Amino acid sequence: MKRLLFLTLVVYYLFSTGDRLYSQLSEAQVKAAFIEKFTHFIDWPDDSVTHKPFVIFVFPDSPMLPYLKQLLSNHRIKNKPVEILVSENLMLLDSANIAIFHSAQQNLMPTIRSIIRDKPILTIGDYPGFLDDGGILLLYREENTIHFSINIKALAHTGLVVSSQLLKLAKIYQSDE
Amino acid sequence: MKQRFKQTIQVKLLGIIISIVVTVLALAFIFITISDYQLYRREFYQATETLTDILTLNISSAVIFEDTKQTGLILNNFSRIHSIDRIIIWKPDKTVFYQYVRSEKVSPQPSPILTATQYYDGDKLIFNRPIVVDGKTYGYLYLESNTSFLKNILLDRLYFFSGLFILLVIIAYGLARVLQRSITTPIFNALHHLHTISAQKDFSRRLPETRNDEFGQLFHGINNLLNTIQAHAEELNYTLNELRRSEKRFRYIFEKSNDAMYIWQDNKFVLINPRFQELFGYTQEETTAPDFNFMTLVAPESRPLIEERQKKRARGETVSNQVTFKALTRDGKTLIIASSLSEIQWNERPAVLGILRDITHQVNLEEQLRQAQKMEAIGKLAGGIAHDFNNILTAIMGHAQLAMLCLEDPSMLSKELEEILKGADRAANLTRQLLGFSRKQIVQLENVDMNKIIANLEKMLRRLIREEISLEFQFYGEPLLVRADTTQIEQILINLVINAQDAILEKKNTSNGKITVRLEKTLVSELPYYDETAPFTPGWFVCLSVRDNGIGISSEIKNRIFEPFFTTKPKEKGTGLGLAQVYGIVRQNNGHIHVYSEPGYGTIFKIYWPLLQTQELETVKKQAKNQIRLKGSETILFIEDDSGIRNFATRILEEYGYTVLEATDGKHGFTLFKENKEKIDVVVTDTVMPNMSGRDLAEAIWKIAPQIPILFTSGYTDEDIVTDSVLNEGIDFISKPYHVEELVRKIRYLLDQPPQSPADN
Repeated sequence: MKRLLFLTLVVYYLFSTGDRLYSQLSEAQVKAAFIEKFTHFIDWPDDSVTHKPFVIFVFPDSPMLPYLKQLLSNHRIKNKPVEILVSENLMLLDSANIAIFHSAQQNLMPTIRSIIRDKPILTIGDYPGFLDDGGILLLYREENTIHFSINIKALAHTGLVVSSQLLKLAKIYQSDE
Repeated sequence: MKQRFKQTIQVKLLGIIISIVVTVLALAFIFITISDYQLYRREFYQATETLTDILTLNISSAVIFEDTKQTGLILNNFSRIHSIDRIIIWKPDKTVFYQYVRSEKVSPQPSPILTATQYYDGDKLIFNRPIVVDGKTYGYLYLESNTSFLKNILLDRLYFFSGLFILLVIIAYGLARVLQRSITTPIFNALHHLHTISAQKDFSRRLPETRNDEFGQLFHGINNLLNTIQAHAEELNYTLNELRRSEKRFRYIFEKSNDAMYIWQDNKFVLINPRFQELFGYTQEETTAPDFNFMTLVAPESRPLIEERQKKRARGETVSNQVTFKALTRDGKTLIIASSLSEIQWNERPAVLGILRDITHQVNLEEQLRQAQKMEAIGKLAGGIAHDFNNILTAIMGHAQLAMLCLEDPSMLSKELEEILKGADRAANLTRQLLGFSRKQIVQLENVDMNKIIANLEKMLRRLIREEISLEFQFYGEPLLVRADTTQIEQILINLVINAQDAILEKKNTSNGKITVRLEKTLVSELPYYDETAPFTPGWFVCLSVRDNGIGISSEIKNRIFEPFFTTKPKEKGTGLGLAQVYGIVRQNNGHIHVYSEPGYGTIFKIYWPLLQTQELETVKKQAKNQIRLKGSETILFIEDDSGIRNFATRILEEYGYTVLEATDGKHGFTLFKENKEKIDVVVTDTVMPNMSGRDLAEAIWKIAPQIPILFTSGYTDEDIVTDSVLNEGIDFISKPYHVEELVRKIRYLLDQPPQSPADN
């Protein structure tokens, strides 16, 4: 009994620190949480238009989808109700504030890039080369921790304003071009 | 004084300046320090708050993304900020997301604070801020900073200000020293002037009025004051000089006075003069001592008088300012003091100035003078009586003698006539003694040896004195020549020896009775007593002393023993003329008599007779050769206004064989002389007569017959033939009453002398 209590305390201790907590969560869960936190440090041009929802475009096969829904349902971002737009229709990207991609959409990236070119849509991906494909924010795992990298060049014409604090946390991607 | 004052005013000025500087600087530095401290504290607070806010903002993304690495990177930068000791980021669940601790020495980790707060905890300033993004709290930032550096800043500032303070004070001191001179220099110059004025008493000096500031005005004011002081000083100086002169005069009088002087105040002496000390034998310190009793100076017999005066004065009664009393000196001597008291102001308080004059000598002199005057008066009286009395006695005796000669039967009345003659002799003796006292006795002075006179008398004196009383003679080893009447010397000695015997007899026990007659030569420079009637010339004297060990003479009667008719003997024994006669004779011969007596032990009389020089001894020898025969046949001119005397004398002289021409007065006598000048061999004349005195007659006779001898007779001596009762040289005299034989002897003596003119003398 005493041993059980001791183990419980150890487990509780292990789970009580942030990093360890993240480490106990699934990668998708963490990434979903990160997406919500990014909204605090990025300003969209239509942030002041509060009657329109804050739209997050997600492909149906996205591993983060269930967590996004769990995390952001009935949630407000930028004082707007959050709408998680689950679709494969790329044309709907146009109305989104955030578009989340994963490696399955790597082939669609040129199309997508042409659709959302210079539009205030934060593109977030989690496969290597996403930034090379013109994506703006890449989530990646390193040393068992989720990090992110931002493509400043891709961001430049979108009208999005990224907080320096976020940029300080991010690894800045500079394309070779 | 000057230096001290100088230091004082300089120090005061420097003190004032330095005090002000120190106070201002100290206050300024304290103010600046406190202000700075407050400012630093406030700024630190604001800076820390700002830093906390910025940090909260900057750290928020790292906290939100739980990026401990980034959080560490941010927070570790604070290691460069030494004031921040600890930064903790708590998660909302109170777990520590990240903690930055500056060193191990910081305080233990605090409990989580989940509110926005800031406060001081001792030296620690604590800010706690929530990390909020878009209204959601992601954690709390706890920042703990240490304010002790503020104290260090404060300490540094204190050191800096202390150094600055010292530097400024030194600079201020230097400046103050320079500046104070502008104030003190004129003051010191003025002081120097004033000191010089004060030291030299030169009020004519003035301060320089060269300045146009307040000092100039001050100096001008002082100069005006000096003008006034100078005027006052001159006036004061004049007054002081007058006062000094006055005091000097007083002091001189006080100290040089022959009278004792004193100041009496508060029932004690406060000052006495040297004469006082000399007179009474007490010093200034002794007399001015509080316990010195004034009565110490008063003789017991005068104390009641002085006490009575003191009582009267105490009762407020008027007391004479002058009093004579007997005082007592320190060595017990009694003085007669005449005191004069004056009320004065001494040291501005009432006092008495006493002047004491020693009148002891004066009183004694007065007493002696009174005595001498009394004797003189008595002498004149006695002399006057004796003059007339002698004439009467001469007649009585002459006629009694004649009656005896005329008696056919002497047995019938001779006894009675002899009694008459005896009585007349006694009376004549009495008048002679009176004249002796009154110094009117006619004496014939000769140069005689006192030793011989006394020696001749020794046998007779031994017969006079009782056998049980020893009589001792002590002669001097060499002749003692004096100018004297031998008879008078004999009278003196007989009187004194008889008096000595009486004194011994009065003592009852006469077995040890002794009388010593002593002659000696003595040099007398001054008399031990005063006698204004006897001029005294210092020189050699023969001292004839008669000493007895009899009853002595009491001090009460000592002054009266020379008075005529004063006697302590029974009536039948003494006439009271013995010593009076001695006194008269001594004085008549320019001698002096002194008596010393111890009652109960004896008396000594000392007679001082002026000593003659040796060459005068020759005269003495000549006079010893006189051998006179009485009878003769010469013619005598007898001039006498008293018929009784004239008749008896004429008859007596005729009995002795002489021819007598009688004249009743001088004029008659001169007429007779002129008529019979060839016959007349000698003239006998009275001295005091009507019409022509004996002297005038003698001069008239000597003019026409200078060689004629003239014998003067008189019962009195106030005539021209005597000077001071002493017969002039060359003048022959016989005093009344005279015995027949005496008269004849004298006439025979003159007739036997070789012819001699008075002018020869």
